[in-house]
Order: sequence, then C-alpha cells, then structure tokens
Amino acid sequence: MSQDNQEAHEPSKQPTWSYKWEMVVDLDRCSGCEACVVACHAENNIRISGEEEAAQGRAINWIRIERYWEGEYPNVKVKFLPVMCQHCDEAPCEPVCPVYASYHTPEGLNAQVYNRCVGVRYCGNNCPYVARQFNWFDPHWEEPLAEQLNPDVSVRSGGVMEKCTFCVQRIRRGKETAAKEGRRVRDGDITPACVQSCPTSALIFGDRNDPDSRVSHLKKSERGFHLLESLGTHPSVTYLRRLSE
Amino acid sequence: MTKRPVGWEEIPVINRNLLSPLQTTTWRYFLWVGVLGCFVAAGAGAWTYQIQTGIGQTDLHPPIFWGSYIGSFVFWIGVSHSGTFISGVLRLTNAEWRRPVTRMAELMTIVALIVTALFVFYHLGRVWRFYYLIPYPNQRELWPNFRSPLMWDATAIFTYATASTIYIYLPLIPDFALMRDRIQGWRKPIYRWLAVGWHGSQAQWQTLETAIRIITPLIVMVMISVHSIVGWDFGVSLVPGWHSTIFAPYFVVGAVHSGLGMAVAGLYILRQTYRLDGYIQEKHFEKLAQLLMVTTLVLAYLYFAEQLTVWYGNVPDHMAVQNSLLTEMYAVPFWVMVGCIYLLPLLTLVWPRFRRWPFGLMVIGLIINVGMYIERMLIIVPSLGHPRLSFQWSEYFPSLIEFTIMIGTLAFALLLYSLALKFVPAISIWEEKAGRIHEYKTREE
Amino acid sequence: MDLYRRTLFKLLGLTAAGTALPGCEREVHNLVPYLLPDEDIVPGVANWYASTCQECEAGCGIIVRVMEGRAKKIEGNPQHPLNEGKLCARGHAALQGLYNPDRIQGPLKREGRRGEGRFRPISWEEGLSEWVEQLHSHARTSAMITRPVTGTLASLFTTVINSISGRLIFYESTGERTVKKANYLSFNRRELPYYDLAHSDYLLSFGTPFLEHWLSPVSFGVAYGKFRQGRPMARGRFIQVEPRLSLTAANADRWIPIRPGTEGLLVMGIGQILMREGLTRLASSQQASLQRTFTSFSLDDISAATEVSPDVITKLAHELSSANAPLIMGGGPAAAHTNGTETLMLINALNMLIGAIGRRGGLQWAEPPDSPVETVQPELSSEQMLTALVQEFEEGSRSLLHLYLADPLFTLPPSLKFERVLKQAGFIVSFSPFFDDSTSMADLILPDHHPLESWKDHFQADTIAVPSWNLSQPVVRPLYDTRAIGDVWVEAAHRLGGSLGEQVPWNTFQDMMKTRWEAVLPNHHPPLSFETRWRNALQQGGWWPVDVPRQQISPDMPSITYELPEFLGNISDFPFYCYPYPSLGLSDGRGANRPWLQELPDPLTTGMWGTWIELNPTTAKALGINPGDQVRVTSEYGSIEASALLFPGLHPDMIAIPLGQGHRAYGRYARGRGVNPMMLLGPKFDRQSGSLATGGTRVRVERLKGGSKLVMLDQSKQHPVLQRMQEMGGVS
Ligand SMILES: Nc1nc2c(c(=O)[nH]1)N[C@H]1C(S)=C(S)[C@@H](COP(=O)(O)OP(=O)(O)OC[C@H]3O[C@@H](n4cnc5c(=O)[nH]c(N)nc54)[C@H](O)[C@@H]3O)O[C@H]1N2
Ligand SMILES: Nc1nc2c(c(=O)[nH]1)N[C@H]1C(S)=C(S)[C@@H](COP(=O)(O)OP(=O)(O)OC[C@H]3O[C@@H](n4cnc5c(=O)[nH]c(N)nc54)[C@H](O)[C@@H]3O)O[C@H]1N2
Ligand code: SF4
Ligand code: SF4
Ligand code: SF4
Ligand code: SF4
Ligand code: SF4
Repeated sequence: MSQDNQEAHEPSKQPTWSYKWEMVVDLDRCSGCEACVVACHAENNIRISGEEEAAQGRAINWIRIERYWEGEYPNVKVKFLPVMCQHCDEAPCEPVCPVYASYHTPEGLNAQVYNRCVGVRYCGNNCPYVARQFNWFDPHWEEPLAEQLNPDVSVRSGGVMEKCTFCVQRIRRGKETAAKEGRRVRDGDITPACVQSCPTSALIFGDRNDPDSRVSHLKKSERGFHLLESLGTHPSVTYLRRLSE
Repeated sequence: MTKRPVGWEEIPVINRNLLSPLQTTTWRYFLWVGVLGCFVAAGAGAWTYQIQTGIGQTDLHPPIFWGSYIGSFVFWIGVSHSGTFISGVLRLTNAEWRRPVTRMAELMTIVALIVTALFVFYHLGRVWRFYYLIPYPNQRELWPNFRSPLMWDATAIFTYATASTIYIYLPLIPDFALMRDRIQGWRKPIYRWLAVGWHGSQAQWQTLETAIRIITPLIVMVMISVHSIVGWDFGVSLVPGWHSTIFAPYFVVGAVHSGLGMAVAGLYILRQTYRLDGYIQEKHFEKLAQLLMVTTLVLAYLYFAEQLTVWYGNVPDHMAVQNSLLTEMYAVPFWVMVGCIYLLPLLTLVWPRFRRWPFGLMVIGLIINVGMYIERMLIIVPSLGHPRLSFQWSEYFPSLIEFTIMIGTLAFALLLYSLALKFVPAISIWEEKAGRIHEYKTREE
Repeated sequence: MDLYRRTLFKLLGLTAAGTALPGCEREVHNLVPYLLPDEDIVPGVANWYASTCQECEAGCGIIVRVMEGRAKKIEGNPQHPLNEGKLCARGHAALQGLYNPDRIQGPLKREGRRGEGRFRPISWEEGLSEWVEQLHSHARTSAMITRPVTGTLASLFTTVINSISGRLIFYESTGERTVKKANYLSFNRRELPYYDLAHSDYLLSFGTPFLEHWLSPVSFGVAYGKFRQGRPMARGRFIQVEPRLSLTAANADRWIPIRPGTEGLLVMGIGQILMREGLTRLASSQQASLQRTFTSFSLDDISAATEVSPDVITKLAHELSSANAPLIMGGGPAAAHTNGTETLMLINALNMLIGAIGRRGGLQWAEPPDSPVETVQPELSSEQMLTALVQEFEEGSRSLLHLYLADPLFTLPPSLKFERVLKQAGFIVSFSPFFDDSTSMADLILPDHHPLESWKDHFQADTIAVPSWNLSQPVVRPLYDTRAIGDVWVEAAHRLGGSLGEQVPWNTFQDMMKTRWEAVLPNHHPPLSFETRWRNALQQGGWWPVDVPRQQISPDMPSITYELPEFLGNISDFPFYCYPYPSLGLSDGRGANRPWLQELPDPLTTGMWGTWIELNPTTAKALGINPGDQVRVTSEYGSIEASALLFPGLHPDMIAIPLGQGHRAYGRYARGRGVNPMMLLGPKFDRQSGSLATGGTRVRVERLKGGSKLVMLDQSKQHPVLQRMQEMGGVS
C-alpha cells in the first residue's frame, strides 16, 4: 500500500509528513537545450508520435520549450520558456472533468487517473498552459524499443489524457525510502527526470512545506513570477525571470 | 391540392387526410429511406472505424481539443428547441395558429435530442467507457463529478429528453386512440398500448388538458435551462472568447433561431410532400417568419453586445480570438455566418410579402441553419486555437471522417423523422379538430 | 565469456553507493560494478551501472538503470568531473540505439552488387575467416576509418593496423579539428584547455555553439548555469558574435551578427584598441610579437568588412578590459572558413592579451598526467586527408577498407568524391552496428555490440578540469549475435599471428583493458588489490584524480598571417553564403535513427522529422518566398530542395540549413527523410587544418512551385515570424 493510502487511512500508526511539491524554473539558466524533453520521454514512457502525428500537432511532450521571437534583424531576441503542467493549486482542469480523472492530491499534485479518463478533453481546453496532451491513438513501439519502457510508469492507451506528473513515481519512491528510515524527505532526495538531466540546473524541485528547501528560498526571489498569474490558478511552478545586461 | 373542408362534415376528411401518410407509402418514400440509409451506413462505418483506430481520426490536436462533434452537439441541441419553443411558448400564449405546427416541431425535438446524444458519444476518446459518466452503484463508490459542467449537461439533457418525451406523448394519446381504431396490422397493438385506454371521456379530456397545462410551462423552463447549461459549458471555462456571461442567453436565443429556421423548412417540405396546404397555410408561415424576425434581431443584438465588449475591452488574449474572426484566419466563415444568420434573414424578412412566401421562407430557414452550424464551429475553434501562450496557437479543419459522421448523422436525423411520420400523424389530429371547432364556434357567434 | 559465468561474481554482490552531489542529498542508487548474474536480479528492483556515454566525443559519465536485465534509463553520473550528473538529449537517446529496431543482428556478407543492399547472414567463424583472408590477400593495403576512439581500443587498432602497414584514420565530421589545430599552433598543446566558464564574468564567444553540440555541450551547460546564476551577486555577461543566431546566441545578452568569415578581423579590431589604449594584461615586451598581427588592418577597414560598427568594437574592447575574469571562445561558424585556424589563433592571442590564459575563469591546462599508458588522444584526420585517401584507392596503393562508426559517404560532400573509395576498394569491412550509408556499401559486416553491451575505456583530457580515464561496461546482455569490436580485433590479431600475436597476447579485449588499467589505477595506501581497485573504478565509472596542477603556458605566441576567407562560386551567380550547421539532436546525422531525436523540436525553428532551409525574412520577401514554399538551393556542386523557413536571426546574405537528414540508408527512421546540405559543398578547406570549410561555398536560392510539408512544434503558421510574449506576466 502506498504511503498516501497509509497516511489517509491509518493516521495514528504512521508518522505523517505533509509535503507540497514545487518546481522552480530559472529562465536565466535555461539554455533551451531540450535535454529535459528527452529525459521526460525516457522516464515517463511517452509515446513516439511519429512524423504524421507530429505534423498534425499531436506530438506529445509533457515538457516543451516554448520559443518566442522578439524584434527584427539585427535586433532580434529569442526567449525560451519551458512549460510543463504547473500543478495549479486552483487547477482549472480539475472541476471540469466529469469523472474525476483529473484530481488534486493532498500534496498539491494535479494527478491524472488514466483508467478513469473517458477522453472528453474538457480539461485540455481549460488548461491555460496547454499542458495537457492527449493520446489520439494507441501507442506503438517498434520492437524492441519497448524494452526501454519504465516499469514504474503505466503506458497510456488511446483516448486518454496525460501530462507531466512531476514524476510522481520518483516522488513516491523518495517518500517510501524516507518513510522506511522514519524521516521526512530531505531536499534533493527527489529529482524528477527533467530536473535530474538539466545541464544548467535551470530546474529545481522540492518541498515548499520545508522552509529550508531550495525551492522555498528561490520562490521568494525578486525574479520570481508565475505564468499567467492573473488567472488565479496558483501554480506550483515558479519561474525566475531571465535577466539582461 | 386538398381543399380545406368546412364545418362539422370536415372531421372525417381531416381524419382521412392526416392519417393517409401513415396508410399509404409510395416508392418515393422507399427510395428516400434507402438513400438516407446509405448515408447512415457510411456514417456508422466511419464511426466504427474511428472507435477501432482511435479518436485521432479527427483533425483535433492540442490546443484544439473540441471540434466538429461538439459544434454539432451544440447545433443539434439548438434544433431540438424548435419543438418546445414553438409548441410550448405558443401553447402558453394560447396562440391559436400553433395547431398544425406543434406536432412536427415536437417530433423534431425528439429526433434532434437523439442525434445530440450521439455526438457526445462520437466525441468521447474512450466511448466504451461512457458509463463512467453515469451515476451507477459501484464497489469503489466512485461517482461522477457534479462540479463539471459536462455533468450538468448530461443531467440537463437527460431531463430534457425525459420531459420532452412526456410532452410529446401527452398530446399524442387521443391520436393514438384514433389510430388504434382506424389502423390495422402490426401497429395496432402498439397503438393500443400507447393509447392507455383512451376513449375520450370528459374526465379523460380534462385530465389530459390539465396535464398539458402543467407540463407546458415546465418544459419551457427546462428548455431555457438546458441551453443555458450548454452555454455554460463554454462560459464557465477560462478560455479566451468563451469566458463570457452572455453565452447562456445567447445560446438560448441562438437555439430558438436555428430551431425556428429548421421548423419553417421542415414545415414547407412536409406540406409539399403530403399536400397539407389545407392545414399549413401561409398565415402559419407568416407567424413563424415574424418569430424568426424577432430571434434574428435579438440574436444580432446579443452577438453585437458580446463582440463590442470584447473589442472595447481590448484584452490581448481576447482580441486575438476576435481578430481571427473579423479579419484573419476565420474571416471568411465568420462573414458568411453573419450573412446567413443575420443579414439575409433581416433583409428578406422585413418584407411582409416575403413573410408570406413559404418557399422563400424555407430557403431562409435552411440558410439560417447553415449559418448556425458555422456559428457553432466558430464558437469553438477560434477560441481554442488562440490560447494565452501564443506559442501554442493553432488551427483546425474537420477531417473526412468527421464530415462523414456529421453527414451520416444528418441523414440519420432525416431517416428517424421520416420513419416517425409513418407512425404518428405529422399534425395533431385532435388539436386540429379542436381548432376547427373553436373557429367554427367563433364564426357562429 | 566471464560475464555469464554465474558463480564468479556471486561474491561481489550489491554495493550501495550514495551518489552525493555537493550540497544536496541524492537518491541512493544501487550502483553495481558488474553485470549481475540472473539469480542476483531482484524483480522490480533497479540496479545502476556506471559507464560512459559514447553518443558524442565528449564522453560524459553515465549511470544506467537496469531492471530485470533491461536497460531502462540513462542518467548523468553525478560523480563524474565532466558532466556532474547531467546529460544531454542525445545521451538519453543512446537507449534507442541499443533497442533500435534496425540494428544489424549478426555478421553479414554481401550478395548481389555492392551497394545493392542485399546481405546474407553468416556465422562469426565464417565472417572472421573471410576477413582474415582478405587481410592476407590485401597485404599492406589496408585502411581503417574509425570514429575517434581513445584508450585501449585506439591502442589495439594502432597495433594491428601498424603491423599490417595499414592506414588508421580517426575521422569525425564534428570533431572540431580546427579548434584543436589552432590550440596546438598557439599553445603547443594537443589537449584542448579547460574553459573555466563557471568562474568567468564576461564571455565573448565567436560562434562557439557550446550550448548545442560543440566539444562538450553538457559540461558547458553545467558551467553556463553557474556562470549565470551560480554565484551570489555576480552574473556573467555573455556576448555572441556570429552570422546566424544559434541556440547559443539566443542565450547571449547580446548577439552581434557579422559578415561570415570575418570574425578574425573583429578580433584584430578589439586587440588593436586594447593595445592602443594600453588595456592589455600582458607585459608590453611580451605583446610586441602580437602587435604586428593585430594591426595589419585599420579599424575602419575592419568595420566595413565585418559590418560591425567601430563603436561596437570599442565597446567590446572596453568591456573585456573592465571585466574581472573575461574569457573568449571561438569555433563553430567562425572556424568554418578557409581562414578558420587563423581566426581561432587570433582569438587565442586575444585571450593572451586579456590575461585569460591559465587564469581562473579563463583557459587552463592540466599538467600532462604522469602515466605509463599513452594519454595522447589520437589525432583526428581532416577532410583534406580523406581526399588523399581517394587518390590512394584509385591508384591501388590502398584496397581494403575498414569502417567503424564512421559514415564518410554521408558526412562528406559528394564533391570530395569519397564514393570512389567505396567503388574502387577491393574489399570493404564494416564493424558498424547500423546500416549507415557507408556500411550499406560494405562486402562484409561484423557488427559491434552497442556501447551498453560492451567493454571499453576512454581517456579524456579535452575541456575537462582533470583528465579522466572512463570505463564503459556491459550493462545488459547483448541483444543479438553481435560481437565487441575489441574482441573481434584481438581474435584477428591471433589469427594473423606472427609478431602481432605476441603484441596482442590477451584472450579477450577485456583482459587487454585490465592489463592497461593496472597501470592506470593508482595504488593507494594501504595498498588494495587490483581487483578491488578495478571494481571500485567500475562502480564509479572510471578513475580521475581529485585535482591536478595547472600547467604554465608560455606567452610567446607564433605570429599569424591572416587572410580573408575564400569562397567557391562567384558572387553574381551564387549570391548567398551557405551554412550547414549540425543539428542539436541529430548532430551530423548519427542521431537520425533515434525517434526521440527525430521528434525533438529544434529549439529555434521548432522543426522536426525533416530538413528546412532558413532565410532572413527580408531576403525571403525580396525573393518572393513565403514560409513553407518549396525552395531549391544550388551551388556549383549540387542542389537540394526543401521547405523554406523564415529565420529572423540570420544574416540577410546567408542561407542556413540543418545537417542530419538525407540518409540513403540508416534504418526506418532516417532513410529517405529530408535532404543533406553536404550535397552543396565544394572542396574548400581550412588552410591550416585541412578541415572542410563548411561555410566556404556560395549558393543561390529559387522558389519552386508548390509548398511542402514541414513538421513544426510551433503550429502558429499565420504568425510565422514574430510572436508576442506580453501575455506572460513578468517576463521581461
Ligand atoms: N501470462 C500470464 N497470465 C496470467 C497470469 C500470469 O502470471 N501470467 N496470472 C493469472 C492470475 S493469478 C491472475 S490474478 C490474472 C490477472 O489478470 P488481469 O486481471 O487481467 O490482471 P492485469 O493484467 O494485472 O490487470 C488488468 C488490467 O487492469 C488495469 N488496471 C490497473 N489498475 C486499474 C484500476 O484502478 N482500475 C481499472 N479499471 N483498471 C485497472 C491494468 O492496466 C490492466 O490493463 O492473470 C492470470 N493469467
Ligand atoms: N508485480 C506484480 N506482483 C504481483 C501481481 C502482479 O500483477 N504484479 N499479481 C499478484 C497475483 S494476482 C498473484 S496470484 C500472485 C502470484 O504469485 P505466486 O503465487 O508467487 O505465483 P507464481 O510465481 O506464478 O508461482 C509460484 C511458484 O509455484 C511454482 N509451482 C508451479 N507449479 C507447482 C506445483 O505443482 N507445486 C508446487 N509446490 N509449486 C509449483 C512455480 O514454479 C513458482 O515458483 O502474484 C501477485 N503479485
Ligand atoms: S534541460 Fe534545462 S536548460 Fe535545457 S531546455 Fe530543459 S530546462 Fe532548459
Ligand atoms: S497546468 Fe493545466 S493541467 Fe496542470 S494543473 Fe494547471 S490547469 Fe491542470
Ligand atoms: S479528457 Fe479525461 S481527464 Fe480530461 S476531462 Fe475528459 S475524462 Fe476528464
Ligand atoms: S517533472 Fe517529470 S513528468 Fe514533469 S516534465 Fe519533468 S520529467 Fe516530465
Ligand atoms: S554531450 Fe551528450 S552525447 Fe555527448 S557524451 Fe555527453 S551526454 Fe553523451
């Protein structure tokens, strides 16, 4: 039984720690190298969409690097913006789902229950960050590419919505290890795949309930902001503004 | 042309005229049904293929997660309002001229509702799991999420379908009894069952009329709420272009607009097919045309109000949607739509003589519906195509499979309607008679 | 093989190793030293093996997650001094090499005409005897083209090839030979320096795509992160000079477009100002020799030629002089011309002028390690040297060709006529695990294992703070009937016999490696047995010293005769510069058979699964070209057709095209996809290094009828060029 359930059902037997997971994206570090993109594919069994589906705008990325051009030659500037699910505390994708496939965990994650999803895709419309990705067909791996699939992550069938989970399988593993040792998860114990890969360390992950974690400190930076803050979604991803000279 | 009979002696003639479509069937009818059947088969084939291979047979892709199926859903639920509006509101206001049109319109409601439900199924990514949307007892005690507007939708449509079935059924009882007595063969036991022992006693008439009087205002309220909820599917989201309070009233009026258009067109076709010009007269068309004029004006007003506030507010996210409609990517369909649902109806319907020209009105009715179909698509696609993060802007056009399914479903609707006409009279016989008697009495006095 | 002898490793068991990052606790991995026998595999429990990434020459340390005998994920080795636990997109995709559906599954012999693509599976015995037979019958006429390998494998290749009087060619199209040549000429060091970007506060980069594919992108990425935000109160400033705004330039604070090939002039201009205003950090006696080099052009001429205004040049000079730890780097497009080496030598000289040599935050060289095994990395061959090979094969002085992980048919422009080698060769043996374009021409294929299935070691001294000896070990059992190239060559040495048999006395390549490693691994006090040291090294992925002394570099620099770049094609017929650049994911093309990389959007254009042709929007407008139009680019040597893409950050006189696609073979994901811009290039070489001047051929562009499909992540076709970011509250 997972830690979640134990905490929920037997609060007296297990010491409880409450976590709130948070990601910080430092735009002053991010180089747009997309290592995170492939890392996420590798960790989370994201399908290979193929040329045709990609041409239809259906290539699935749980994290993508948005690229914005500004100005004209020779005064052009490019800005990169890694966008993954923002795990909104007030997630617009959640109330609209008729079957509770999109729901909020006590630790602040926006979880997607693949088995429950019937594919009405309202959540996709209502996510202002276009974080949600849909399986338009059943996934397919040419043999033996499927050997690589991560056994900790389920493969999503056609007709099901998916998106960044903050690598919940790693979070769970980290919590289990910590629980076995009878302690709270320490800062840095859990690194989602994208965070782990990111060469420039532009991505930082941690627990914002821990006042000493790096994310708790970075969140307070004067460079910090939330994407589309005015919508009141209260994201769990804090961006740190890119600086210029 | 069937001459309109006068006086008491007209009663048997009415029976004969209005029951004849149920009793005689020409080769044309079979051809028509056959052709429709082919289209339906194509649509069914396309849907089967889509289920087998995946919902990716549509052209949908992020960020445009909804497209033609939801557009059609909104369109058809709009059409379904013709019945309730025409018969309910006209009954409420005691409009005498309603009599020959109520039944046709009510049939339209039922058929359109069935089709509406179909589009929900087409749309589901995993339609074989549709029952997750239904509250049913299960071990895990998982219930649908009633916070979701889609659940409001499901509930509202279910209520609407139930209520309108009752609503069409009640006034059918005396006709069922009539058919039980006049029509032989396999239908007879069904009519007997449906007639629930009607024999036309004073008490039965009183009960029936009371029941109709009670359900009529209720159904009108249900209709308004149903389409408000469909509007809220969009309005309560935070998609730029959707997030607007005007959606509910706009959707209600829009539904009536297309419903009326469809009713006028259907009325004309029925009148021609079954030579009912003795019953469906120019004055009926004229009244409907006047109503259409009203909905055109009200809808235009609401639409203008919506676009004006967006334009004046000048919020970039919302302007992106509006610009795409007014001048950019979707300008052509947008202006065609404006022409179809506002300008053409306005320019024609203002002429009193046009309002008495059934053929012209049929054309306008069809044009309005084409326009409203486009309008439904334009509500969905440009808004979803312009999310706030402009990197994700995209475009969409329905795929061949989507078109096949939409056309097959249209054929299915026509087929259902055609089949229904072999089962129930297109004009409520007893109401028509009551109208004549009422008219006769008034003349006598 | 030892590997599967279950009893042997039973005692070794599991050894848990905390992979601690400085400052933060990490997930504890089950880091095991050897491929585990079946009975030690616990279902559902992951084991991690340390190894080395071989997707590019950088050689990052990796750890591989293995569950139930299958490699599941690759991550950076947190202990490795080069990449500090990080990994790039290509490193991840190594898994898709291992599990690639188009791997060659066993030895093959050609049937039908050469290049027809028909092969017959044969046994290893048949393959090996055939090869040895060919070695005998083509005595003294062998040539081997291999990707640059180091360590034991390089030594084995050298031993065998020397003994049969063959020619050994280490070739890598993205090998940055020019950078290495300039480094050698300027500093007399074969190893590239450690660029201490992390501690620099001002980076002036001439074209180096160090955040994309240049030399060691992950280690540069790590350093870049620290450079920007790794220090309290200090944020490094970064200026990039190049004609096309690359991903790296996109990260710069300022991008300075420049006329292609004139980067060296700008360097001179900056140097002139520094010297004139006495802002250098070099004793005047030492800078006398540089004086002439830097003043051979006037500032006005420089400004006119480079299209960089004198104000900007002066500003750059002043910024360099006022920075605490400025650093200058050069490469990429700056080195892609006939004067590439000269340009880079000028940059080296400028680094000397600003005192960046040997300084913290500058360029540093470690003392050459005092090691009994050779630590010099094999010298790379240039494209010019490969053209000499064409002649040798035509003359008949060479006739037996060996290929290993090199695909010259694809990576060389056809104008170099390499296909003649493949036509003329008496016999071609390929050891490649994939049907790349060149391997498809082979007569005999003896496929190597995937790196995750085999033993190798690597010596690494370029761009790294401490030299490191890295190990690669099998982390999964071989999927197919392939054999490690090392074992195959050891076996061949035995069969060839004679003195070669004595020089290669080992039974397996692994034995050979271990013998060498006895010399590499230091014996600590108290002394540990070799097996223990070896196992520790395997567990951590190799061996590297904690720190090494830095070498002093003499400030005496050779004088540089700078010449302006030359181009093929006259300017009236071919008005545009052409710049084919290695793609972030596919590199020069070797990533093209990995679907993850095909589907990885190019960060700037967001293109995937194909090739596009980049034009400045103004140029495109003048030529009547709209985005998505099919266009043809023509040079004197060839032409290619692809979809046009408007690229706002491109010199108006330049056409840029990504490399990587246009394979004639290489499996289902690569074959027949896109075009190879190498088709356009003529035989123009960097004068000093002989590297192909990839920017040295001029082209023209014309619009063809119709559009063509280009798959892009950015679907907003209606706004192809400029997007707004104002919606994103707060992004300045
Ligand atoms: N080859 C082979 N066959 C076997 C066995 C074997 O060992 N090998 N074992 C036999 C035995 S002992 C058993 S018990 C059976 C088990 O057979 P199954 O009951 O078929 O078991 P699974 O394949 O584990 O799971 C069935 C499906 O449930 C889905 N699923 C997972 N969680 C949920 C959830 O929360 N909700 C819903 N709706 N679905 C969920 C999974 O994705 C999977 O598709 O197999 C028997 N057959
Ligand atoms: N990860 C994961 N774990 C699971 C499940 C899952 O889906 N995933 N499924 C769960 C379920 S539903 C089940 S039923 C269990 C099954 O778990 P186990 O009962 O452990 O099932 P097996 O491994 O199939 O069989 C047990 C042993 O019985 C031996 N055996 C076979 N025939 C005989 C015989 O005639 N006599 C004797 N003495 N031994 C025999 C077999 O060789 C084998 O070693 O696993 C559970 N655990
Ligand atoms: S890996 Fe890091 S630096 Fe690279 S794109 Fe992702 S967030 Fe940015
Ligand atoms: S980013 Fe989108 S998917 Fe993620 S929680 Fe917020 S609304 Fe939901
Ligand atoms: S697509 Fe799935 S998760 Fe999204 S709203 Fe529909 S059922 Fe819920
Ligand atoms: S946190 Fe995990 S799931 Fe989310 S983007 Fe990163 S790697 Fe993907
Ligand atoms: S830079 Fe990337 S491809 Fe090259 S060795 Fe490192 S991880 Fe591998």
